[in-house]
Amino acid sequence: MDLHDRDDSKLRRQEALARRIGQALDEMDTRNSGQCPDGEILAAYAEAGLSPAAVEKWESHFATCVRCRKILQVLAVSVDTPLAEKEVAHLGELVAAVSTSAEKGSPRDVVGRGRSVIPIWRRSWVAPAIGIAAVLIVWLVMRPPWRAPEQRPPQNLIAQAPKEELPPNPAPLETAPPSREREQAQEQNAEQASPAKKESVPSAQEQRSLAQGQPQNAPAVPSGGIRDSNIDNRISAEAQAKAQPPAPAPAPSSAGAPGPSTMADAAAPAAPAPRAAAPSSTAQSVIVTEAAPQVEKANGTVSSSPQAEIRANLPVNGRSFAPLAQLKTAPGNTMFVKAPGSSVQWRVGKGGSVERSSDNGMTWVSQMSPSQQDWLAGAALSEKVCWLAGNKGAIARTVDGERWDLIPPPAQAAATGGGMPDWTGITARDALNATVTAADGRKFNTPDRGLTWQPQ
Amino acid sequence: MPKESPFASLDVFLARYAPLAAELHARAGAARWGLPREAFAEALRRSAEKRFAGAQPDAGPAAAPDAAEVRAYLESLHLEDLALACACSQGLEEAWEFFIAHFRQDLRIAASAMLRASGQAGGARGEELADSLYADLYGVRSGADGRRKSLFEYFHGRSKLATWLRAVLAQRQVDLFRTASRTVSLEEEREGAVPRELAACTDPPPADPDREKYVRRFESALTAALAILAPRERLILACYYVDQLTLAEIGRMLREHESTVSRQLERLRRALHDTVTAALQRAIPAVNGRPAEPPLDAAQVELAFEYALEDWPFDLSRALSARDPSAERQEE
Repeated sequence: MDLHDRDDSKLRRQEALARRIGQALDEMDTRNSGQCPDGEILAAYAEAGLSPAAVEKWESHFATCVRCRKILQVLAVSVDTPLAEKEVAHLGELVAAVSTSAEKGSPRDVVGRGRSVIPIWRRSWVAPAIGIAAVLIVWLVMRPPWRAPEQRPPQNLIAQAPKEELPPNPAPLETAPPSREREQAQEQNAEQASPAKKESVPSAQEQRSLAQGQPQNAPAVPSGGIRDSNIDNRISAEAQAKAQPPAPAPAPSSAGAPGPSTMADAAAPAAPAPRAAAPSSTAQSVIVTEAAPQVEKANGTVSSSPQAEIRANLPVNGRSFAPLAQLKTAPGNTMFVKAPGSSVQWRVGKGGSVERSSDNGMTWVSQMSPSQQDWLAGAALSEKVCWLAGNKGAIARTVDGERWDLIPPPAQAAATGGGMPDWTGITARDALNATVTAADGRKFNTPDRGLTWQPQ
Repeated sequence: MPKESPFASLDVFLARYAPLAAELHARAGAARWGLPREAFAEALRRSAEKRFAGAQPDAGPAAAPDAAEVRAYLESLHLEDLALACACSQGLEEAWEFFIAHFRQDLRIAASAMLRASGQAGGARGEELADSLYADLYGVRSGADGRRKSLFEYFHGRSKLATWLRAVLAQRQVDLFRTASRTVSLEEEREGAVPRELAACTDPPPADPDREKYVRRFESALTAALAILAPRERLILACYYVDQLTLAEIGRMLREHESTVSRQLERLRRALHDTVTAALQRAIPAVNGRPAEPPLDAAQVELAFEYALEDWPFDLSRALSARDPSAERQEE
């Protein structure tokens, strides 16, 4: 007991002594501590960007300057957090403020200590805060079907995107998205060049297209890359038997000719085997544009379609999934860059928009883009390291998965008039080394995150 | 004839650092805003001038930084942000469009958060506070020479542009708030901070002939303890005991975790107490005609603490202004 009392007394003395010293600091004449720092010093201090000597100097000043301490406190509050998190945090504060009593004024408030008046701003925020909370709760409960967790919507980007958006072009990022005219020309060329191929075994892509062409009557098409010649032949025969004239939109077949021969897409560069034609559909007019969605490569570069598999029969909003997966995207829309072996991916595109998902595309968080130019190509090396390239020489990189930095483009790439080319491709070896490809085919490599560039 | 500073004028600066300025201009991507090299070089010059000339106002030409030091400093700047700020100060439209698109919303959010932190309403007032900055950023006010002076000219790239903008906002908000609100007298506050054990003592203590001696011994021991206080430790004490911030708020301010601040504060309190105790328990040799004083025992140390904390007649300004890092600190 005696020992406990002594310890208690010692703790009280420690507390009292520290308190007295703190008050002595407050009483010091701040004129002797020098002028208050400007915004730049404060910002550099907040970012730990001052030298140790400068930090020591300014902290000595801060210890005796209540104004500077208040500024630092206020500055610390405005931490850079994503907008959604800030708003949710603010909402939480407002809701908490409603439930606390008016007499509980903050004892830590420098000004107004000892006063128990309910600040007027709290009252005026009660009703809007409750309304916002109610809306958020309703939205969380009544989430749209394409965000249901039991499904795996990332297989079809269309299912997640707002209705105004079209799914991205499934073409690889290294190449420009094909135009409708080019696809039709490819189909015509394929048809003319190899008429015998119509009878050959279709790939899994064609199986899906066949199933899509006949959503009601076609037999079940296996998902993924299963190739069974018997099934393929049967599907092909049935599809041909039920061939319909094509619908006009959104992707009418070339020359308006009905029949499976107009739907061949053997010209896709990645298709390893020739394909039979798929019948056109009256339900949805689609064109089998390219090969199966590109499998992600070793360095994380992928096509716009982030998954290698598509579940053809997964219902979405009561409709068959497969047709939606084949809808062609409008040019210039969002593209996807997936981190290899990870659920992290970025969605980038027009106007410099950048979004990140850490759950395979189920939810997206907007990120600050360093450029307003359209992003045309990307390469992700991990969950944190990703490169982007776009119009007018725009190149960006993130090394923490959150903040994007603009990378200076190669000066030698500028045209005679001073304009930078559009980058249609980018590959990266690591966070420092990347190679960009211009629209005219020129390539430039940087081994040091853009400090220097060499033409390839 | 005194040697001219390398940052005295743009011509002098470019005579020595033109290639570096060109390299940094490219690295900053300043061309995207159409920012001329000379304008960006001028921004670099001002930044270096403030960093090196201001830090050593009394230093002569011999203390001028060498080229490697200047290069290292300029390369450490946030060049892209500096280019954007410089372009905005020049009134370049594309830069302004980018600035508005990428900074406006975050500034508004930051302003609202700052107002809430000060016990005021955020929301619309936060937007007003943020938007009030734009006029000065654009430069509606003219300087003494009649030239439009943008607030962006005060950004020198030592931090991110967003952080600098928030710091400027914080300064404005705090100054406005301090001007508009009534301040509570420090005397009133101090009365509320009297320790419980002393406030409960209503009877005057019995006269102790050694009281003055104990208080004097305590003062010299305390001066020795304060000499080893680091600036950050003083800052923590001020934040906790004067501003009465929570440990979490202090941690956020100092970019440390709340538990770290808690441990630091506890260690600081213990160290101060133990250093003073150790000094009281040491004998003081005779010096300058003053007689030697024996060490105090435990009971006398307690009395010294009691009398000193009760009376507290000390003026610690000088002790707190000086710091002797070589002094030994007593820690358990």
